[in-house]
Amino acid sequence: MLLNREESRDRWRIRPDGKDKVTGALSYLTDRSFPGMLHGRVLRSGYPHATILSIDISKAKELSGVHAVLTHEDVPGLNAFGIADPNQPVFCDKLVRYEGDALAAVAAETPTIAEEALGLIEVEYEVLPVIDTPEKALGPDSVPLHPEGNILHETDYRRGDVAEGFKGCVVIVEETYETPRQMHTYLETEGGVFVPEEDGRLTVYAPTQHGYKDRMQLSRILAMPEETIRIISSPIGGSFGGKDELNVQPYGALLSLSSKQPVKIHYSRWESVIAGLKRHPMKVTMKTGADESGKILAHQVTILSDTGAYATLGGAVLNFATEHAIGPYAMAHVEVKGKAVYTNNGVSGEFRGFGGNQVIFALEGQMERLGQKLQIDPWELRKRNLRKRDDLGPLGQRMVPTDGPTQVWEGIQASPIWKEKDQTGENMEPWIKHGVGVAMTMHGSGLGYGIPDPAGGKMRLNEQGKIEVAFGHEEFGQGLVGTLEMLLQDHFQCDKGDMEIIIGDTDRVPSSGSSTASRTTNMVWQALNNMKEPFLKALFKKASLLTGIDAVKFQTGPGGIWLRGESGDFPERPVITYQELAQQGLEDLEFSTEFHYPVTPDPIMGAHYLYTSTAVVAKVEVNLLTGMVKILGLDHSVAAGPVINPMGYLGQIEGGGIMALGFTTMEDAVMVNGHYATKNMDSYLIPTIFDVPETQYVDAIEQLPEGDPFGPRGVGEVGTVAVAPAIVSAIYDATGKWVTKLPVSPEELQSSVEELPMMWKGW
Amino acid sequence: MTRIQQVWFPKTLEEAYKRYLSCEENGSYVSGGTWLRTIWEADHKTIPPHLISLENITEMSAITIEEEKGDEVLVIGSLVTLNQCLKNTLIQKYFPSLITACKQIAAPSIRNQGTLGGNIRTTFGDTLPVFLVLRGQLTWFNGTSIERESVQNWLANPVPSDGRILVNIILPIKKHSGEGNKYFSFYKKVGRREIFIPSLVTVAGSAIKGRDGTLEEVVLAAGGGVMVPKRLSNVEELLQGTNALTKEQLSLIYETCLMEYEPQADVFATAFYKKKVAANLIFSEWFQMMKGENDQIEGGTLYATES
Repeated sequence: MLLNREESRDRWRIRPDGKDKVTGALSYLTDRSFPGMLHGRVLRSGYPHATILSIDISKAKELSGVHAVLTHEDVPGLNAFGIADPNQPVFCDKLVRYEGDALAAVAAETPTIAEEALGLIEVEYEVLPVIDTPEKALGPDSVPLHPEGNILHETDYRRGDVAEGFKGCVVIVEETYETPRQMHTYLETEGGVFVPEEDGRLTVYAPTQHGYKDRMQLSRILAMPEETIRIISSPIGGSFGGKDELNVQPYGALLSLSSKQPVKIHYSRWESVIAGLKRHPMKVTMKTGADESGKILAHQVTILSDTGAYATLGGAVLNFATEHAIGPYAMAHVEVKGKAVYTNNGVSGEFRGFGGNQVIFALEGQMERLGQKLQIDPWELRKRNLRKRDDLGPLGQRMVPTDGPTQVWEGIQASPIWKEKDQTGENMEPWIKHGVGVAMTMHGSGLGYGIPDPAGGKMRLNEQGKIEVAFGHEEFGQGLVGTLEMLLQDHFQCDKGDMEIIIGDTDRVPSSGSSTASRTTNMVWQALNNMKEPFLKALFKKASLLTGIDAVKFQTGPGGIWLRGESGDFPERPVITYQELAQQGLEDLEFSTEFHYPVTPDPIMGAHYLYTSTAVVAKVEVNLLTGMVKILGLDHSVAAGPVINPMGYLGQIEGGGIMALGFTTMEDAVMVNGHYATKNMDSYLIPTIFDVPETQYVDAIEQLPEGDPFGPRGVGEVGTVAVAPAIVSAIYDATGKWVTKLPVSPEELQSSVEELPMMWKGW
Repeated sequence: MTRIQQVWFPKTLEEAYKRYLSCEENGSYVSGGTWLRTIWEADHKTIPPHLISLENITEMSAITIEEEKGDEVLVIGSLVTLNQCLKNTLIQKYFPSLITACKQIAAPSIRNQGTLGGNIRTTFGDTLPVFLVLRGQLTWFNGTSIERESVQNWLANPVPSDGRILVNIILPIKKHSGEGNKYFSFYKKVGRREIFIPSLVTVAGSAIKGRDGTLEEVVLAAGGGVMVPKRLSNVEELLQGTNALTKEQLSLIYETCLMEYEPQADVFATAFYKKKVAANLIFSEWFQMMKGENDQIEGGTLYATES
């Protein structure tokens, strides 16, 4: 279905949180204040690489209005954090590994006093040479940044024999592709309020994508039992992977416990740029060969990933990149080697697409080049290599059968832009060039084999007579609440007022795993399916006891339990309302479910089981006067199973598309000698409304193979992953120039054409 | 770290000037404050303890037509905001390239606050190439009297903190007599994205094309980034009095443009790229002018809609 108002009809629902967010009325967690609240600030090194000789906080402590000054000596538990590998110090003690490293934190009565106190902390450093590229970090003279050296993680996947495979190829293309350090650029920078409670517990009001994980990490740092920490984490002003890891939490928690007063920390954009995570810059070299029919025989890949100073999820991101460097193509001989390397650059971590975006840019570039060399339409070449429904996954793992790649390969051809593919530009100035390009891929969801990926939920009739569901998932703008409302209405035909949705509070929700990896929609769908039958059975049993009517005649509806209408129509009123049921006691009306995200049975680390597919067609305009690229159109075909919430789905693909457009054409957190050169949003650019196409047509292909039990797949990431190669292919179509480094350099495009006076053939 | 001690609101130029002198090194005039705020925030400059707001000085906020030696001039007060410029029918009528320039500066909220005077005082504001081309004059209050100098002279040696207050910008309204003559003007800005972006390159120009296609009164200026904009006199000269040009002549003009325009490199673009962009833009505008389809070539028509 084409995702729009007409096709969606009554399922085109305005998102419940939309108005408040657009008008600015919504109160975020960082908007909260408490009596006696102090303001926290973190002292950052400013040096990308240095030995710490001494830290003297005595003057800062003496400043009037300062209530706490903390260093590494004041961390009661583990002085480190990191989702996968906790190797980032809360406070550095001996070594500084990037300019955002924290040395101390201050809580004071006003932000101004806190800032002044930071200036009074005296730190002596011995500055060390900066390792600002992975190549330097791997060099023979490089000093190790961590005890294990400068390699965080390596991957090495092989099947067949690539050397043998290349022997049979009539064409081989080899290219190195580079991708930028993209910033998540959430509207709400990292922040939170930390409140020590009278009973000794700590309440944390701070955005995250995984409340329970934050609770675990904080418990480890604070040396407090997990149950004594409450994480309230929604609503969130954007995350895109960037707030999955801890950010302000260790500092706010330690300061509030030390000062015994509530503490607010909210990073300025400047601090967020320096301290926050970014997308891993990657250098991907691919050598791909095919026979004369276009059949790919061998594919050899090396990935060099700049993971920055600390681990966080850099290893998992590399695993994901390794898998997705193979993509939806069946190839006999494959070798993928990857390295995630520590440097003195800013920390790279989780980001929408999770390592897929980088390698898919490279892989799709290879497809284009192969087609061109063989004089086979590159789109046709892809078809000749596409995997079949029941083929094994990219890493040789068993995966859920999917027709997705074939479906989107065909589906995208219905786009109006596709029809312009072979047209020449109409009546334009000679320096304006138009082009159209296409790309596709298959994207895994869930965390992959070998990583705990639990899910769950709770459902009950609550004291107010509402059908209440609780999930440990978060709303960070992706539209979870709207989707949940629609799912509940589908299940129970009830009114919006009959339900209550609880998320984002570890005291009130069960552990449901993280809201990441395009897993949430699928997990809540599964959880509701698990809980619905027992819940209804219990509800009807109770209604039957109270009314004397046979439970088989019941159905749920607006306001309560109704008699099943002969023609399907509702009679005039429910036989018993939800409130009446609740007043008669709530025992036996609470259900929960726990399960694991579907995972491949084959023990291949990180390998995925569920996949979605996407194809993207882009139309660009290149102005040769400046080399600037304007994206005139960007359409998507996405195969991700049934659509629950059409507007939410469209929002994810459109939004993802725009984020990826930025990745392709302008976004790059530039680092010079380990320092960010793009310190604010006047130099770190994201697209504005004038940089994006007016409409993105999104065709959602809902058909799943017969018998597929897994339902709707998440679409949080898939809209981002194949945009770059489509745009770059369109630029090639327009200019004849292959871009291999993102973001696209206008200078490079401009310099690739002859000087203007030479271009004119006549007047 | 410096804390603001005082914000002053003088009502007259004299009062403002005296206040500035009394603050010695510790004061700054503020009009819209939109540019100052960004450099304070970026720690490029410390916020001085005394901020002298000019907003209550009423004589600097008008846009009027006046007569000078028989010719009409438009007098624009330095406190006129960029948005007021955009809405002014006199500017729309006589100086469309100034409208084009203002449209492309920052975003609506900033244009509501930022002033023309402030844009000029930075010495590299995006309106300056337009004022160079329009042969604008600046009037300054020097403590006792009003001084006047051309934009071009001032930019040749802009003293940043001499205490003088920019009062008005004066633009001569040209009468283009001569039947069949067409007046062309343009302004182009290139940044790293479409809108809400500091410039990499700005180019402005004007010329009169006679009935036989001969160009007269060619004026060109270029700026961009933090470069102080300047006239491209050598290029102007090569175009003056020309009609159809040979390929060799075009190449010479192009090369001259590359030589004469001297932007600085930054993290995002080399100086050579900026040179080429400027030369290309001038070239494309010349091309369009010779085609002669439009009287006014504004260029860069995208701008954020006003709320």
